Amino acid sequence: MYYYIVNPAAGNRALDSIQDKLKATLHSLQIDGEFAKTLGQGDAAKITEKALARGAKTIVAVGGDNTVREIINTLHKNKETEVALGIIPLGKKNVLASHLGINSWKQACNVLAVRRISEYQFMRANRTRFIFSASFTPLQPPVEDSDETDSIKPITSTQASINIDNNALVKVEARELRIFNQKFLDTKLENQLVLQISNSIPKTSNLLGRVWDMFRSTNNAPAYSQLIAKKIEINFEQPVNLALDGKQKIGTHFELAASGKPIRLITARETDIKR
Amino acid sequence: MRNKSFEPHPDQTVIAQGIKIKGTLEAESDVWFDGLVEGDINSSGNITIANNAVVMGNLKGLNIMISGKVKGNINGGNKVLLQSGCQIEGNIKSSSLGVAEGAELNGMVNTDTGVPAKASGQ
Repeated sequence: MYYYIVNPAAGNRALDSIQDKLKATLHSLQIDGEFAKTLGQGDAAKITEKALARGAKTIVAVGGDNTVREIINTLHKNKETEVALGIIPLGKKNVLASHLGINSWKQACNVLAVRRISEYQFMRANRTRFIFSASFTPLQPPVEDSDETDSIKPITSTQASINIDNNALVKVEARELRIFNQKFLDTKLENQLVLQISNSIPKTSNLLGRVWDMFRSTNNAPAYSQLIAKKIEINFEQPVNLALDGKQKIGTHFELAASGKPIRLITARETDIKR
Repeated sequence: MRNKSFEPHPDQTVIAQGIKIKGTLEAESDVWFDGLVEGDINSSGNITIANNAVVMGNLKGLNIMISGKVKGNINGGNKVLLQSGCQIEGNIKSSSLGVAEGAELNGMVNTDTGVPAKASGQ
């Protein structure tokens, strides 16, 4: 049985204009089921509890990342490893759906009908759980009400020391660090952390030096640096903003690793597990 | 001339210029390295040492291509390729070795075919 948890407010009430078409599409694909609408924050969690009590084996979030996050956290709280979670993206932010290769409600319906499932482990940053991504960016200095405001330059990078699996210490002047579960990038890969670093390459100051730098390189430069690890510890010289599945935190020291039992997500990507 | 940037594969380890590493870099897949490392690089896949790279440690991989500087021993399970402009100070062990004109090597070469031969100079 498919259990649809619908956030009617998601994406500026996107549901209003597609509701009839959505139900007709689900019916034609023979995956219609029970519908329950959320009225506010926390409702998706309560409805998930109800769906589990009714024995739902497939729960579908119809909404954005906040709806998805509430359902995932409830599944995790209930130690639920059998239920599959699908997503019909309607929100302003649909990061997880996008990671699963789902970009529209119509495509999502077909993905739900095919029901390819992949198991994703939760990640944690210090004590906070997340499922799809963590992103670190330098904090911008506060704009003070003084004559010296013009001289304050925004911080575009910060020094980071990164311990990889207790084997290697990486030092980098980082503009941005992103951490994903590797499996979101390729379902055939393991649940491991992928660290992507947008670093600041030291540049030669004079013009002649820059021209020489350009010509001496025979290799294509990577768009970013990337490391694979099971455990990552990061110390920043200055406080940074950490976005965990879109939620913000501030700090200088973070420990990240895979954590807990995996969750089953319905994906548009190729996968070994089906139905 | 402007270099095109490439997107690393999700399981590839890629270290760009400007990154410093202390310790052993272990990888289960390919490694592309253009930074500075004081330690070893071990990979079950291929290793590319790009031309800005400085490696102060040993390299162990399947196929190893070097354009940068390496001060340490190199063990390529399949093939080692020394590109023009590379500077190697250390011994090389591999069943196959390719050396381009302009590559610098100061060390012993063992291609598993007999007694190690001494190689020095350009």
